[in-house]
Amino acid sequence: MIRRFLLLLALCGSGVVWAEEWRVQIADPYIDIHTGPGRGYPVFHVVEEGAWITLIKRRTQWIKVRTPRGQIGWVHRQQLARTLDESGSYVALEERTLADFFRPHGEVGVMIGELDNITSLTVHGGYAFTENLQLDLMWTEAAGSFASTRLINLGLQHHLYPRWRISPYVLIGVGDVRVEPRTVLVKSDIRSDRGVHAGIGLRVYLTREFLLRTEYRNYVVLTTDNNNDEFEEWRTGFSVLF
Amino acid sequence: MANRIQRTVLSVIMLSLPALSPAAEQDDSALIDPRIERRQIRESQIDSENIELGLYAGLLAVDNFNTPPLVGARAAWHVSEDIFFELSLAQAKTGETSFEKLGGGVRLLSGDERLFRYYNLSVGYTILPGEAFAGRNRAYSTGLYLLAGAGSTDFAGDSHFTLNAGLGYRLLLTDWLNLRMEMRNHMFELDLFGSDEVTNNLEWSFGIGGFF
Repeated sequence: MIRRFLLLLALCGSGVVWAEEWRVQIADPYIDIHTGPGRGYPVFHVVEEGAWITLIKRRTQWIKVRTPRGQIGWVHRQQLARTLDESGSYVALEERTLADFFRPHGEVGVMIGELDNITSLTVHGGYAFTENLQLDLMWTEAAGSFASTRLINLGLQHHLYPRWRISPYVLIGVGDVRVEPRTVLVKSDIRSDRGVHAGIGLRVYLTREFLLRTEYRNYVVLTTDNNNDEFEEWRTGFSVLF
Repeated sequence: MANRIQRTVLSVIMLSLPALSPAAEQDDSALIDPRIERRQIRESQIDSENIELGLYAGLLAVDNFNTPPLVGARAAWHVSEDIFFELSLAQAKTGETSFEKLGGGVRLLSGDERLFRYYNLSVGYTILPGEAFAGRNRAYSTGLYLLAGAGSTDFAGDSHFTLNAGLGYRLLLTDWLNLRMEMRNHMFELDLFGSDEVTNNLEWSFGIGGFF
């Protein structure tokens, strides 16, 4: 991705930058070359053991290759695992596991839930700077029949057992609560107040870089009235770790 | 054994012929230091193209209103050959309802409220991947996919929680450049006419995109 941008940039300028291509030698008796990056695409060519193929790029689980005879096609990554690089060792396939995320990493995700009996949508991004602590920025929108509520929150998550596949956490945070009454109703003011929240949650590591996350939050809106508003939210969603 | 004898005899001859030895030494060093760069390959070093960015334009049939043109942008992340996640944003400017047209000076919405803006997050699943043939020598990768998701629509001065579902067809012109045609329904509750009713807003769009 970055290489293409670089390539475009370079083409706009005067120089030309070529994306790096790699050569591997086939170690299996033969390898299938498909016409497209998918299991259903027909095999139109095979390359036999000992031949060198050039790796051009990859898309999802497929690698685009050039054969010694100049044909271009797609090979599944499982077959790439049975090829040798120039140093004579097998090409290293990288399968992400939970252990890859014990070091600092990022997370982005979406969640759907219920905020004060209204369906809510949340988009969030975060950074785990230690195994236990993660900083999260969340944007939530809940459009109800009387008002639509928008929340922007900055929170700190503490993972109690970060190395568990199913890992509980607690969270606290602050943010801004914006309540916009529906226009069909009597025109009233848009209200924007500070809010604080606390909650508990559960992260379930699924596979590769995917995570399922469910949490409960309790918000306290610090209004200028005598009473503070309080409401709760349940939500669940997917995250991608990187 | 024979080799070793040969080597010994040869080295004795070499040593006794000092004029020849520098040339022999040079050859030797060339053999030992071939200066070939041996690179080790990891999967992540291969350029990956799993992100798709695109623009689209089409028509949006807004329930109770007219069918204005729509423009939007989308970003998708392809997780596997079947599944992708997509974020899309689009906007259309609606016209008058029939009620407004017939009612003379009646205005239901002000200028800004007529803007129909949505964003959504959807999951796509390619149900029928395939190839399309143009003539005898040209084949393009294609895919028929289902798309469903949730998001929010800003319309008539309010935000509405919106569900969307649709069907699309993607044709890859080159490895990275693609064309798409899509039909989607955006469903949300609107109470503009007094009571809550679910509106179905059908979108028909054409787009162009690239894998990066």
